Amino acid sequence: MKPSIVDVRNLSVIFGDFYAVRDVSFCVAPGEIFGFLGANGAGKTTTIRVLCGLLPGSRGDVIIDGERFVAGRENIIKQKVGYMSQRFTLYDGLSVKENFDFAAALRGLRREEYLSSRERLLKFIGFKEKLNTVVKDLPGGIKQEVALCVSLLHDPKIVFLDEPTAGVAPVSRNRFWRLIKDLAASGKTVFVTTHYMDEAENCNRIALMRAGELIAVDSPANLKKKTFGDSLYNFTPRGHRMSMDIDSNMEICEPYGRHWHVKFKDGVNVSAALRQYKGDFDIEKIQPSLEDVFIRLVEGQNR
Amino acid sequence: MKIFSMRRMGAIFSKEFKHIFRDPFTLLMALMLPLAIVLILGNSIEFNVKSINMAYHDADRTESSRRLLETFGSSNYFRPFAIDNPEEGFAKIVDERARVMVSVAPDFEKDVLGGGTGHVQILLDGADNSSVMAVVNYLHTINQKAYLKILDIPHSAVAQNMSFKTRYLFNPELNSRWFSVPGLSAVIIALVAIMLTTLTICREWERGSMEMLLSTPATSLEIILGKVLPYAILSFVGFILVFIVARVIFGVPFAGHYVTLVLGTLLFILGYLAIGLFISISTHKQEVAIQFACIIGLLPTVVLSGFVFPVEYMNRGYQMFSSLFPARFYMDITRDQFLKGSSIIDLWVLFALLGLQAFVLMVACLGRFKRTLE
Repeated sequence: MKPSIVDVRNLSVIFGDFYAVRDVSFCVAPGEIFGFLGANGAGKTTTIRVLCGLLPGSRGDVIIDGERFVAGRENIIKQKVGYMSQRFTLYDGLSVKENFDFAAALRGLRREEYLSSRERLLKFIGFKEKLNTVVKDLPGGIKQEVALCVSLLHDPKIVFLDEPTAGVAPVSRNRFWRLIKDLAASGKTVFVTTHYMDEAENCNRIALMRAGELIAVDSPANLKKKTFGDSLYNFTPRGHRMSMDIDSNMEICEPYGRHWHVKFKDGVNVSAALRQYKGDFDIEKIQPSLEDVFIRLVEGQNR
Repeated sequence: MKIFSMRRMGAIFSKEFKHIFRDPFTLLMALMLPLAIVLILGNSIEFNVKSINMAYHDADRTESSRRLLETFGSSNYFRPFAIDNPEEGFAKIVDERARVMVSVAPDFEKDVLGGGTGHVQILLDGADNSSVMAVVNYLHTINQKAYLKILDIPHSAVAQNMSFKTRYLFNPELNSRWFSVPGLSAVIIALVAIMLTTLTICREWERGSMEMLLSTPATSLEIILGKVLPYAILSFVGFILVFIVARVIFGVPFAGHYVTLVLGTLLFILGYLAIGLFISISTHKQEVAIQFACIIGLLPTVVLSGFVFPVEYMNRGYQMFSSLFPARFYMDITRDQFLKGSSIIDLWVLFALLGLQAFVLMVACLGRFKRTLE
């Protein structure tokens, strides 16, 4: 395995006596697409703020591209990372060029450096509009892509995308994810938070957070396997019986729309257990989705 | 890594200016609103009382009583009209058709010329405090004038045995507009400075662009200065507009020094920008911030600064309280500069207090800003 570019060890962020992040450790390799999942308030945003150099951790170590993050050294970290948030993409009232100029000035880029970087990035996203177009006249998807370019202008090794595709049309989302994969392929490390579970499948690894704690870090496939084994069943009601309850053989029985997802306990004779439901339900063995994992791990405990 | 970078601050500064010029609302609020307010308020705020409706009843009907009433009419302060009997006059006051009723007693001329005292009754509408005081003041003068008029004594003759001369310093015409319009500029700057800065910072928080700014190497000081300076300039342009209107349209004289007034204005603007900043840094939400801006920014500026009610007449507690707001000191400076023209050395206490307030507020903002990041 390659040496990690982001190394978080026992990070805690404490506000007063509230642990926003508690004892979190993980490593991320260069070129990885690393996803953050968790309910609102789970500590995702706080963790990202630490990794972006906005906020020093209260305890533990954060090492980004070989630099240890301690208070007073925020700027060293800030130079290594780019940040793009879902809430803000670009200043609407300014043109594309002005948004780039602004970022370049804030980042203190030299002119040649800035112009070549801008050209390279615009080519990368296949930007065909005029540079003088005012941002509010751009289609939503393109706006998002330009915002990505702006956050990459200073050529950071790591880029944080905080719900980058919130409120963007599905076609544009797919395009955007292709860009993210291209970025990772070119060696950039990409952190993504998202609420779209189908998007999260694109990540190499996913960190699941709940109440400030990291509860799992793994690839999507491994997460599913660990959580559900290989046997998750989808029950679709047929006929009169529209509802079901968890029985003693089941470990999980979660409603999904009009379906139920069921996992049986280890050691249960599955075919025998299924037999009693066959009359009322169509039953098929399915691959668990990340949503199943998320609900199981993140939400399940607090029900 | 530089602690303070002109380039970063400049980038934020010019970005803010682009926002202002592309958003007609901001520009309108910054420049047109002050003009509209100064024109509307300047024309309507009138502490002078003129053309007071006066009912009179002349029971004497002599040369002397006519001369007395003539004096009232010629004074410009009263608009006299005759009534048939004193009861009618009373009714007029109740109906608010008259503020004053003057009733001349039947033997007025006989008494005056006979060396006694002529009797005139005057009824005032005490419910209207502001005009009563003015009327009573005018009466004194009119009484004297009428006396001379009735006895046909030339002015020069009296001047010898009665030397009674009033000179109103600095505002010889006692024009209340000369007093209110310079004060108005303080209120308007407060409006623009507090409202606009409050809105601009809140906007960055609400849109989430503040986090983006903070994810760059830009420091708190650069962000704050870059955001605030454009509005300082805008407020100053507003001030110049108000100044021009005061001089040209309302004919307010300017006795002071431009440097003194400008310096005072800049300190005042800085203080109020800081108040606006502090509010927006503390609340982060436009709606909440606007309410705070009105309550802790504008209201005290209008009510406690001496703009409407003289600070000297407030009780000690309020006097101290009003000193918390830069408007109080600026109000004194601007009125002084327009009408009196004291030098900056005479006013150093006011300048020092204004400067101190601006400095403390700015430092408080920086501290608060750093803390809200966490």
